[in-house]
Amino acid sequence: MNLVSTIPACLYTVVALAGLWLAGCTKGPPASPAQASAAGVTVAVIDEVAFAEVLRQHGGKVVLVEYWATWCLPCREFFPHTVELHKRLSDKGLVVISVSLDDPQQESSVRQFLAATGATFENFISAYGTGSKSMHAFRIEGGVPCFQLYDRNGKLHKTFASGEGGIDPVAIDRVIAELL
Amino acid sequence: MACKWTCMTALAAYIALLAGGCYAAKLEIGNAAPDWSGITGIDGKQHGLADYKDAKLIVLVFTCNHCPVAVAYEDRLVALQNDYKAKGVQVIAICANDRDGDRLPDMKQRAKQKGFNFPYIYDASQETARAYGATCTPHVFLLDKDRKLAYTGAVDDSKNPDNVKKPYLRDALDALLAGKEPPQTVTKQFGCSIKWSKKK
Repeated sequence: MNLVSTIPACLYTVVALAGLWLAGCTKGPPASPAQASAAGVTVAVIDEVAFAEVLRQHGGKVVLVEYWATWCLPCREFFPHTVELHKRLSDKGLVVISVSLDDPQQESSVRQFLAATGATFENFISAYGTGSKSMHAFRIEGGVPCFQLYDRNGKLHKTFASGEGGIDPVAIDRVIAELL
Repeated sequence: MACKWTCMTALAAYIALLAGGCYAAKLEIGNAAPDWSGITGIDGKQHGLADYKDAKLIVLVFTCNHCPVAVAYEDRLVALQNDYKAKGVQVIAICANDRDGDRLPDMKQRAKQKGFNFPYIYDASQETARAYGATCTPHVFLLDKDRKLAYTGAVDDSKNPDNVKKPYLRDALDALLAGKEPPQTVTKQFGCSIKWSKKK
């Protein structure tokens, strides 16, 4: 392989990738909640009042809410399991919702991650971003990731909080199975 | 008879599991802060809470290198130490993560890079983190002159410094220095969970 001729190709690739990355970083107009990205992923900024209404609308179903953030590695690692729960159990009465604690300005990064993991359920970003108010407003315990499981009556049945042992996906699956 | 014993043992084990599975006993406002010593700092020395007995107030912050939230607060902590040093406030940064990238050599580098004006120590056994009930980075424990917990939680209310509306820690410091109770003694900390060692 001729090293000299591969250098321009590498450079073009790097520049193209950098350009794409930069384009992703610039702020565009805020996406309207009803719009889906090419991957069928929706994201909307929400506060706790509107969120309570979302939960109410799902009365009769079991609802699992995952609180996460793009800056939280364990959250990102947990996501495929959450997506799998949605795929496996949505026709059995499980509603999966994600709420990101990223700053709303980070919407494009949030959307990118959700699209990459196939999160074709309801996704939200806390209107309060990364801060105490998000923790308070959504009653998040122990940091992110945090899962809240609501029963068919819309009552908070269990919170799975991050702690020393981490969150056990098997425990989540088991409690969901009990409620469904 | 055997069945009864099995049930009792199972129940006892279950209770023990529940108890063990809970976090360390949570430190309440007004409680005496757990003492700690023999913790290595980036200066290569052993640090103990008693070393700082001359400080009026101690700001113990559990932090680390990798967490974007902790990183976002580094400049704020340096500024805070700057602003409050003359008033007898001592900031102590403590990392308790069992994670590559968050160990002493990395900590040393970060402290130099960011101009840390406070000790940065490494809680290798994670006993101090457990004793205080630290859950994430950053997580603040403000100790008064009697080394009782006076404020705990977040440094302020937003990762983004431009969005800060409530500088909780500064408000607590100002109140205590004026001989008053902090307006808020407990706030919700937020950040990346502490990386606990896997049980062997």
